[in-house]
Amino acid sequence: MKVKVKFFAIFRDLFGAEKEVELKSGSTLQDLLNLLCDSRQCRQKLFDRSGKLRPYIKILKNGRNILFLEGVQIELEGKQIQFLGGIHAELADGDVVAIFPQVGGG
Amino acid sequence: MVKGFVGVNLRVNLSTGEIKKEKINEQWARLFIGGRGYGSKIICDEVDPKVDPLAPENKVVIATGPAGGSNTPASGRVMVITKGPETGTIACSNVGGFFGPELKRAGYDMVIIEGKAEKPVYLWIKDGNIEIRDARKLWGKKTSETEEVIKQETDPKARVVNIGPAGVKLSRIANVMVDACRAAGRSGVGAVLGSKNFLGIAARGTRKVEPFDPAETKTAVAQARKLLKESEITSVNLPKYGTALLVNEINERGGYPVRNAQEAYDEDAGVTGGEEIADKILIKKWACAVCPIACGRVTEIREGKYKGYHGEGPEYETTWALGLMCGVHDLNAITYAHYLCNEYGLDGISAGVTIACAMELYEKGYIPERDVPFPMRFGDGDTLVKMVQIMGERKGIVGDLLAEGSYRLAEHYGHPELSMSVKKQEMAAYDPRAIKGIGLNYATSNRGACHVRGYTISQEVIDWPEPVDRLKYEGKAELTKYMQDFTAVIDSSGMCLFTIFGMGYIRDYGPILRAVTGIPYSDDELMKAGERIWNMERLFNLKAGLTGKDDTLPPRLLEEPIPSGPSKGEVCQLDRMLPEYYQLRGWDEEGRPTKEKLAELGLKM
Ligand code: SF4
Repeated sequence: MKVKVKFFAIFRDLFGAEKEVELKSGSTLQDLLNLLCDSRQCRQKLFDRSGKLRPYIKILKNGRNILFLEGVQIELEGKQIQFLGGIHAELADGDVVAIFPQVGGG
Repeated sequence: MVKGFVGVNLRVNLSTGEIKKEKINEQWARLFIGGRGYGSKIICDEVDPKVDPLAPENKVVIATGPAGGSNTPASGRVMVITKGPETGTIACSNVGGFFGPELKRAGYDMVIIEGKAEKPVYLWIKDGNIEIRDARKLWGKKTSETEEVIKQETDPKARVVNIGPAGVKLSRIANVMVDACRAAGRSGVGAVLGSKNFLGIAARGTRKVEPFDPAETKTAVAQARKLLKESEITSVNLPKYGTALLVNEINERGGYPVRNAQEAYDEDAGVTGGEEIADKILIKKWACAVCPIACGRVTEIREGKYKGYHGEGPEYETTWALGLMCGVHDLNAITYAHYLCNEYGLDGISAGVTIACAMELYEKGYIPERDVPFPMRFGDGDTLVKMVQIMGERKGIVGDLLAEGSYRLAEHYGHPELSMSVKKQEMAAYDPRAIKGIGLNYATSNRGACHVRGYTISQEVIDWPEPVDRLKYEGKAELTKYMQDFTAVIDSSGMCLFTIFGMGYIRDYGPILRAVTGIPYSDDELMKAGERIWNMERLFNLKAGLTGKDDTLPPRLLEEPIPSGPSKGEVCQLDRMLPEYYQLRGWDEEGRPTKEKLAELGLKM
């Protein structure tokens, strides 16, 4: 499947303005970000040392802040498992992902 | 004696020529802080809420805050307060630049302008001395020329506030310019000065304003600067890209009003955004007095028809209003139209939204061809520029109506519903259908549709200081009230609202205000002062004849679902927030403060 990724502000200098990325079906945002961070410099921009997404980096999936995506519930070995939305959200063909640093304005 | 203030307000009666110096009221300094709060107190006490805003009985207060004139970051703000000619409500418009600190150095915290001069005049304040000067030869000249000549006539180092042709011609969307590049843009405050035959003020001074506790002030200021440095918004992105960096943020959420809010997303909105401005027209960043953020843009148009023009801006709001709101993608034309707004002394937001309204009225066939000098369709940059020109000059039938703002224009042609305004003031660059809290703020703002009276965008979009889901209704009443009260404190302190992007809480402002003034108000007391200011403004509006029914949004935003983009299908269900908001405010069902609330705040109906 293909997703479109858009970068803004200082991220443009590092990642370019826009990319189309080919992913295996079932991939999550985390998979996408791993793929995008093909250098140490890129990785450091998005993740802290422990591998967590840096605070205040804003990611929109089809216009929705991933912090507020509904979680998904799946059944695994007979148990209901609740996946958080956020970075673990699954992507679908044609999704648009927008990545922003912390910006403000007025 | 409270500090931070110079301690003296200047009162100028233009009808009689009488000039008075008045001591700062210490109790008011505690209850209303300064700036917007203190100045609004003067207007509420002295101006009949029912007065015609353009009559000599209206007054204008030009007010600094107690933090101004010190080292406090971004503390050079000035508030222009009056009864607004566009809305008929209390109006106040905030501006940066360098005038505020200069006025304090020249010996005054605030200037109260009353009456009407027989012929055009301006005020020259030099180290405490005041002179009312003839301004006939400058009356109606472009703002930058006026500023330059006033400096020649007074002192090259003077700082100047002045109106332009729009204010002189009593346009209800006329602004007041500072340093010829920053604007007290909103609410038509420039027209009130125009109605008084008052061109502006030049100030120059050498006095120092002492803080109450210099050591404490130093510590508090250092802490504030640290917070602004630590925030990536205020230390990296605002300086690098300016406020227009928000274009993509808002557009990608599908909350960017396009073509008079017929849509809320545009695939190519980015060509008018901060990144593009930085690439194509930016010469350098620019900062108001003592501001480490420097969100201002010094720009030059480098190609096309408007090549060679230079100036300041555009900002987020004007690149939107004069851009996609009018369907225009041409950054050069937008920038030139922005420069023109500054030169005519027009509010760029209201100008753009009014032009967008005219374009829709024209395209729908509601404006007859005989009224228009040229076709007024969405999307063409040159049309936009020509429309700003006829608006600034009040030229022809439509030009004259454009200068009245979108509501009066749309009403004239029988379709007031096409004015994207609240209480007749034009909305800002956030679509409440996609960002619910800002809708409640537009609806309840005391000066009509306005984003900066309760900037819920900080939480709903910027995730700062804590993220809130933009599409949820729950919690928005509380958020809106909180932001409105908090903002009233910042606006009254003399500091810039954008400091909230580093200093997220009242606890970050309290130490500065206490150290500078010596007033021992707690943080809670400051928030209470914010609430008091809000309610005082509300009372003025109620006495002026507004009611809870005016707390609404244009029907389009309430009823017409966004047709496409990331927020497709959304409307703003104001009724899911407004009753709770009234309740939290301690108001009755019709939006009137209850007796108990007034008693709690020490206010009277
Ligand atoms: S943040 Fe921008 S608008 Fe505010 S004081 Fe600084 S330069 Fe002026």
